[in-house]
Amino acid sequence: MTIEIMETGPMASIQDLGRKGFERFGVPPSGPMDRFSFMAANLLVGNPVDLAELEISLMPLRLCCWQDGLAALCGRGFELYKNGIKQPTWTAVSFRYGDELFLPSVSSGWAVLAFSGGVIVPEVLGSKATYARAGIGGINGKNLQAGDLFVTGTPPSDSIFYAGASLPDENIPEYRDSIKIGVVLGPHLEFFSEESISLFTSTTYRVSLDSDRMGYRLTGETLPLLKPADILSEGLVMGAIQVSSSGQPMVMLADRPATGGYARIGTVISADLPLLVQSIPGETKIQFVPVDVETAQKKYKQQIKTLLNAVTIPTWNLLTAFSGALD
Amino acid sequence: MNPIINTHQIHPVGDSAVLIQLGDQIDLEINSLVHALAQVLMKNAPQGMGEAVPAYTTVLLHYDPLCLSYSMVKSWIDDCYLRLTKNTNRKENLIKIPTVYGERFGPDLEDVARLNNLTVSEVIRLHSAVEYPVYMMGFTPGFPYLGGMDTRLSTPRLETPRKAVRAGSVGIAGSQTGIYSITSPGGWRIIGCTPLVLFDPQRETPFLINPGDRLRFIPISAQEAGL
Repeated sequence: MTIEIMETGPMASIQDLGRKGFERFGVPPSGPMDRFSFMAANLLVGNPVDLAELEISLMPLRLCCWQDGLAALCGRGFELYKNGIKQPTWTAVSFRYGDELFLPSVSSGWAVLAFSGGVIVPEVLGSKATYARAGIGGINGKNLQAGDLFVTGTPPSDSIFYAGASLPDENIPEYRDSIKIGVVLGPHLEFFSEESISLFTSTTYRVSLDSDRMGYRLTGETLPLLKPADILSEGLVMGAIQVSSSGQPMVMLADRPATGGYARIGTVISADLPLLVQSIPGETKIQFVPVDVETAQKKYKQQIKTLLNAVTIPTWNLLTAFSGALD
Repeated sequence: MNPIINTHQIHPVGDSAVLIQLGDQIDLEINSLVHALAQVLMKNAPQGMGEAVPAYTTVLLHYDPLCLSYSMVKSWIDDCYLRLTKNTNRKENLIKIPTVYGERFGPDLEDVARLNNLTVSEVIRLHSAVEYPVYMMGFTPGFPYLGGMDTRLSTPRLETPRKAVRAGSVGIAGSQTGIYSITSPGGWRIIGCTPLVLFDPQRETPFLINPGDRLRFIPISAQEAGL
């Protein structure tokens, strides 16, 4: 009863919602780049939102299923084939013992693959999330490699009804060429002139090519600083936008260090992080829009609430269950 | 009324954290207050309150915006601040770091001596003579940011960082000293090495050092270290 990795790229890893409570010891939380897709994929296969999944980027993934189960592919940049036949994404796809799943990369972006019951690996500091830089989490602290085997957990008892479950189109994020991303400005605004802040919020940026799970460098207008960008190191959140002394902004992401020493002009709001993360390097135009905390929280709550109620189970599954009960 | 109550500033950091600022320069008293506040913030915290991350002069407090609003978090911080007045003394937890200085354990020891016009034994004596407060942790898991190094030991980083510095290496960078907690690339001048393991996720206590502790380096021979 295992899943076997036949082929993978260097940026594939096992992630859960992250390692909480060790940032004061210098351990970053890690976790998925795109939390929306991550939660959606778990919900589609009938899991709670936080079970471990595979995260992939840029390179194809091929695996063999030595068990029955359900899988859902969410996010950007990949297609899903079962035994050579194309399957829908953002949908729970059932597989049987011996089936091959192939996920070719079709563009940049991050995708996640959830399994009913979740990926099971030993927890390190309370989490299965891989943080390869420190060799913790995942399988032996490493990103996925061809030949890796893992088991999945016991699926929830109603998991069978989720075969074919999908997200309605209106709940699937639309990845546009030009996006608006909300930021809460601060906390180090004293480092930036008004002109600098207005440059940041009135011009467009693109993600640079040398971006990874740690963070995205942004190309666009450099932001002049009133003094050197070095601050005394302090805690760092996902989405924090640091500006180095050269004036180049960088968004800190899942594998950011737990602390940082550069001035921060703002923080991307939780509801918009998944969209920012899915930007195509060098292409997607990003416009940062200042938002106040209350508005940001309202938007995030609405997004999560909508997602939690969005999964649609095929009527047929429920009818079958009902007629089964009559037998 | 405690005068410190007027000195904390709260800034939102996105929609799921706040930064509490208690000062703006490296200072042992301010830092002691930081650690005391971080502990109070995590004690009996309401549901949805996350980790408090202490640094030199700030505490970053995470929270879940699905449970708590920014104003609820602010009033929790103010409550905690009031409870702080009694016990702001630094926890006096001293950790001894047995260290083998020089030779293959500290390949840059002679350079540090030469660049500062000191002898090798003077460098060892100065480096092991004081207790270093752990102001904060970060950079890599289990890495302590230490204060209080003798300024006569200040040495610039290597021009070309090493591709891998072994965990346990004791180094100097500018006016700071530190210990590599995991093997990682780095440009610190390595003067010695400790056999202690700062970070072992499989150990019951994964971290040897806690933020707020004090460290002292104890010179030992390679034989004593079992190296």
